[in-house]
Amino acid sequence: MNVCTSFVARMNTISLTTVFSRPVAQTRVSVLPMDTDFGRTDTPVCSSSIYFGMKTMLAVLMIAVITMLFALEMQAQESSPIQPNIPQDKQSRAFQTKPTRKQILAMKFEELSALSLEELTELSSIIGVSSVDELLKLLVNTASKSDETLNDAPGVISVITAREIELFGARTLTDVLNYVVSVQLYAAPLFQNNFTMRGDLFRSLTSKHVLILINGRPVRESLFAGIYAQVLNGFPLASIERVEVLRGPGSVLYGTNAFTGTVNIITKTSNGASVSARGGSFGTLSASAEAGTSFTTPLGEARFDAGVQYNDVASWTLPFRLPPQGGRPPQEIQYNPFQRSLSGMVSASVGGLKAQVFVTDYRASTFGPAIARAPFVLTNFTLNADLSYTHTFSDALQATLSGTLNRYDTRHVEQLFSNDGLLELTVNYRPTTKFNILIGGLLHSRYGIQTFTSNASVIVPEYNQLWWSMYAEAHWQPFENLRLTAGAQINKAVNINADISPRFAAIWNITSELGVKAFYGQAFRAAVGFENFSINPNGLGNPRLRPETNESLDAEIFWERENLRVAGVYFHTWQNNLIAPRNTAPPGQPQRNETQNFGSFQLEGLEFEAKYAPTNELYILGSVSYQTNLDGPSLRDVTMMPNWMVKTGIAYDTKNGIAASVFNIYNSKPNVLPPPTGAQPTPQINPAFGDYHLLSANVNLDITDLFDIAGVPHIIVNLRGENLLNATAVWMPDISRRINTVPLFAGRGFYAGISVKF
Amino acid sequence: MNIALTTSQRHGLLLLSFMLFWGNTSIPAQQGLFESLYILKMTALVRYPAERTSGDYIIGVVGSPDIAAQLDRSLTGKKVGEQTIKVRLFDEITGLNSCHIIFLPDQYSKKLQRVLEAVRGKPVLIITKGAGMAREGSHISILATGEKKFEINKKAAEATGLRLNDDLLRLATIIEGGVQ
Repeated sequence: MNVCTSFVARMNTISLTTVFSRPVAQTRVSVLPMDTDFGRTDTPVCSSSIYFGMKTMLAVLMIAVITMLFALEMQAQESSPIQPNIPQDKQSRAFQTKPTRKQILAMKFEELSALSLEELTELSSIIGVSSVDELLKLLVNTASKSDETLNDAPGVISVITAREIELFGARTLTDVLNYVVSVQLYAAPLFQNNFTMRGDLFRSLTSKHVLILINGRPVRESLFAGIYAQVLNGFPLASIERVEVLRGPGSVLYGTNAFTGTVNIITKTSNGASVSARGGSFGTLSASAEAGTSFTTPLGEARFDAGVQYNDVASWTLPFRLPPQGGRPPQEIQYNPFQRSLSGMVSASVGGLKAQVFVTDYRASTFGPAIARAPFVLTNFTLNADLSYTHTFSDALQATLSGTLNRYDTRHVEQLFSNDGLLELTVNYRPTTKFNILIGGLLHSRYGIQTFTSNASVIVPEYNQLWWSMYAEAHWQPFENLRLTAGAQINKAVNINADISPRFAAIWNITSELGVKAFYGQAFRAAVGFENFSINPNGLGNPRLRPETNESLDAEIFWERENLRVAGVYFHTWQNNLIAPRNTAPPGQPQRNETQNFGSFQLEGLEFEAKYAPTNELYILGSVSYQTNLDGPSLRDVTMMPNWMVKTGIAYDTKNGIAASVFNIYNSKPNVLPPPTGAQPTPQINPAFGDYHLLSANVNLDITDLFDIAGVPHIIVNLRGENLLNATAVWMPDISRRINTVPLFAGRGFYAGISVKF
Repeated sequence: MNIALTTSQRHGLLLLSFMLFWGNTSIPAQQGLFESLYILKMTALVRYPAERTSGDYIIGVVGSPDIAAQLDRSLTGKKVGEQTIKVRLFDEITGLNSCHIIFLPDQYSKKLQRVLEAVRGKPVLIITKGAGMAREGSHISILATGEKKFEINKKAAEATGLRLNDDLLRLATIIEGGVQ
């Protein structure tokens, strides 16, 4: 195909859209009313008994967490409070119960130094060893599967911590990712929210080029890949310790889909508990609980952590125009883009054995893939479970065996079901402090099927495959200020030759504060089930598809002081063997859209990020990013993502109970190419899109600290305003190009909540 | 790459520039408070060979004048038994043998191996910050988060003739193995 037939023409025949776009008249699907109850199972799209089991499991989980909260509280009441060993002449300052932050801050050095080390550690748990530590001094492990500082990590990484989530008041993981440099949110007709980074959303409606990990274990879905709405809406925020976002290739360690970026959600391990509830505009209601404990067993130290979250945005209603169809003019409806989810995250460990389960039951309104008719209900059940065992053979040798199960079931007019199993062995050998090598092997079992919900007719026949891959990566520190990394992954999918993705990294710490990193890396994205096996005539599968490849150059310069970190990144990415359907019929013959590898695509950009704590109370973070992209030799900015993004947050924590913050996200106007000559124009019937500012403000009032109430758990009142500059919704281009825009963010809204930390 | 700025983008960049250079970048007063307290308490929980129990009690800070000044304000003049604490800043990895404690701030953690080499076999307590440092050979590493606030490489410390009190060990994750 001539490149000049253009992106738009191809978009009309590609991937998810075409597979989904069987004419509606043939589907005979019941259209669900928008006010369908969340818990009802009497509709075609939620008839599976799996949801009963899911709810029962989550209910049990919720009860377990609440029981644990009570147990912890009872335990706290029964145990003797710390009685600091303060000299008699200063007994008036002695605490009969756990002191408040305000009391600690009021103490002089001499008074604090009179306490025992154990008592000081208790106090530092309340006040933090150092507030900067919580925000800036972090260890990350996504880039090399081992703990290291941001400066040492062989990758471009940004981190959002639990403290930042709390300070800026994020309500969902979507909000959290929106704080990160170069991360872009987008909406599509089928799934309301999703994200990508560096502007990479070419020939796809889903984020196939981004991989989400939970504690390093992948959330995979082999039928389509890159559908994350349920994770973004549902993941329990209270369970998150930090979110690491690796930008650039990650396939050497994480395989397929770690293509343009990898998001690693690290969950908390702390002996505490919290419950919270929040409500506000648009009928929003959310509730969460989280608890963790540790204890000693004959097998060693054991931990148990659990979190649940319920999110409901029920009545965000706005006028929406459906595109003309079959001679019917555009039809205006009242659109309620609701999203509801009930999710749980549980992790447990004893000795070298670790288990974790993330499960979510998600429902949302959807237009389906084609925006052909009024919205209806989409349901999703996602399960990610992992069991890992780490054995330490010696100080230098450690091995981890992990088994991961990903079960994914989405139902709308179609049922998308996949069941992916991973068995991975990782060996870490560290003969000296200056050298270590990571070697791993992976078996990936893929199972999936796609059918129409109404009549069970097949879109993607059942497939059941076994892949393997192996990887090795070495880290060498020849000099104190130089660290080198080299690695590669061999990936062998069925029916095609093995594919190799290498990467190289060099980190040079020029001074103790200033350093540079340079990376060359490749990544791959293996074809997913519907690309391999679809029998839909609009996008026939091809079992011999080669993986998409990504070749990337990144250069980073960073400067870090005690209370400041600044980093600037340049990236250039070349993508090849991209997978999409195209017409392979000879001229004059009926159209035959077959999925093939063709075309190339480039991304280039700059990213600048800073975190700064000028005082103990004030915290500032900000980023500026620019991306531009190129389809073929000359078609620029084709991904409908903004070129520019500026993200700025300022938080002030008085340390005596009041913390206030504002966060603004500016996105420049996305580029949308005009339709090619002769192509059907996209109906311009909904509000136009443009650049926008998404300004939020957040206030946390810790009643316990504010009124200096000793002996009670921390009670925190949260007040929040979102999208303060826009009275109505923010509309963005419809990625599927079936219509000009879809709403991405609700209009101005206000929220209030309360949380209790034990 | 063609980069043209609109008015809004210029405003964003100006705001970011303002943020970055607003005020100085010295360490806020409370930063380091607990590090100072921890180090002070550890002086009482670590036993030195007899030859190190007279003269001044030297706490060395590698690299960071800010942190050395912070510790100096907090600790200089205090007593460890009959010994008086003095805080010294070391820009270079020389002369460390005279120290009782060497504190290596996290931004200088890359110098750990050189520090260990410089004081090999000498009863000098090496304190660092951050997880994983005890495995690298640091005797005690202060952690910012988590249930345990310290990692301790007991074998490495005892190999130099130091004895760590059980009250200290009880509060720490003991790293078995690692560099000694």
